Amino acid sequence: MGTDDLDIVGQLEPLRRYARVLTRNAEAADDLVQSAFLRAHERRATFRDGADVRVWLMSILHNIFIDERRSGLTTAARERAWTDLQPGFVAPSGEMAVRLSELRNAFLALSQEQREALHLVAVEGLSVAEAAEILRVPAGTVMSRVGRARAALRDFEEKSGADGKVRSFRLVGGRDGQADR
Amino acid sequence: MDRQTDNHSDIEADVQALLQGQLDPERAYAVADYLANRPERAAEVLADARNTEGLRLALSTPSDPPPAELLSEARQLQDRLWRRRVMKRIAPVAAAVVLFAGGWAAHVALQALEEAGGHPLVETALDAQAALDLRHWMVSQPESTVLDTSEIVGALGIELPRLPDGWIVRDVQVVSSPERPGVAIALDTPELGRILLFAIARDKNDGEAPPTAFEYEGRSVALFTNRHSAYVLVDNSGNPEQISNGASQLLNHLN
Repeated sequence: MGTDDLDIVGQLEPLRRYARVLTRNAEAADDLVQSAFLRAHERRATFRDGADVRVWLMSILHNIFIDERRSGLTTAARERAWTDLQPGFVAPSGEMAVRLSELRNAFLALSQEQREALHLVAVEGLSVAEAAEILRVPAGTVMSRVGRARAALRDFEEKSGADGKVRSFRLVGGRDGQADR
Repeated sequence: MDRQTDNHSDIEADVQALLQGQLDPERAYAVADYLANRPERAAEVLADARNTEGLRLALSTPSDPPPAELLSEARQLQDRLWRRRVMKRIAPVAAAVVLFAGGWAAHVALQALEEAGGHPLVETALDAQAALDLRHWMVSQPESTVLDTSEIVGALGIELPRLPDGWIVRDVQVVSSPERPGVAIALDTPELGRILLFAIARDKNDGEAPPTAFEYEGRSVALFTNRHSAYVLVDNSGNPEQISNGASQLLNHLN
């Protein structure tokens, strides 16, 4: 029997990344991962052998984040001020650096529900069913959150050109965004 | 967009799979044909793909290496899950306590210890065993078969017994424990087969504990101490009497 499927050290980076997407703060994110490991340790008897260890850990991490938010540990002030904090990702480099930074900011500004659904399905490449298990919502809800998050990012990209300037206002219900293509 | 996709939810569901090359040729043709006939929807799909790749780039790496605590938590959890898997395959046997080398005063309420959440030294030894098991599976982690007892005494303050005839060292690793590093040695023995010897320096003011052998989470375990070192011998099969024989041989070589 192999051990690859129990490779938790290998999950450290995806877990920290997910925590940073949730908290938008590097320090809080590592605290969150730490709490998730402790809870996973306490509940290791609940891990079904053969289950996906990444989904299991991300689910624990998600729940702790939600619990902390409910109990007010993640303060509204911190939520509002996240752009002043350090989300903790490497600054993009190369020609696309500015655009990628803007895309990341637009992504981090999405609602938490849309942000994490898109993160799990698109960035981490999990199946909708796996994301639904982590987020504890029906698969249809995941799909609709992903769809709305994608549309929001398309809108954002449509409004800003490759040079980073705002191209034009988009008329409500209009199709001027299409005319540029 | 909704107007276009409402009646095509099954095709829409496969659009991402098309981009990832996961569809069989027939299905890929159908989905690509659907998009080819809907340039606006196709442009949206490509914009989504661009944004996804952009986010993968922009979120790729945390800006700092993982803190050492996180790494060690991850390793511990990994070891414990692996151990749990290994142990689930071994039917648990009712705990039995055997004092070996007759004449030792009966002591050590091991069952009480187990109820209180496990014996810390044995838990550490089992963690070490799980780590050695992992290494055994991993091609990139070669086993070290050289047992340099004087170096181990010098670096870790652990005195190691001379091994009985026929005992062969298969792997030696310095392993971490909550208090101080210890050494884990995988051994092949003529009577017991593959066993693990875990040794760690102990506090001078800890009293001498009489050697004991018992069933622990489906394994046979012997515990003994000598001067400044404590030892755990673990056998995945066998019974406490057998492992206590092995421990007695080691103890004789220490005294």
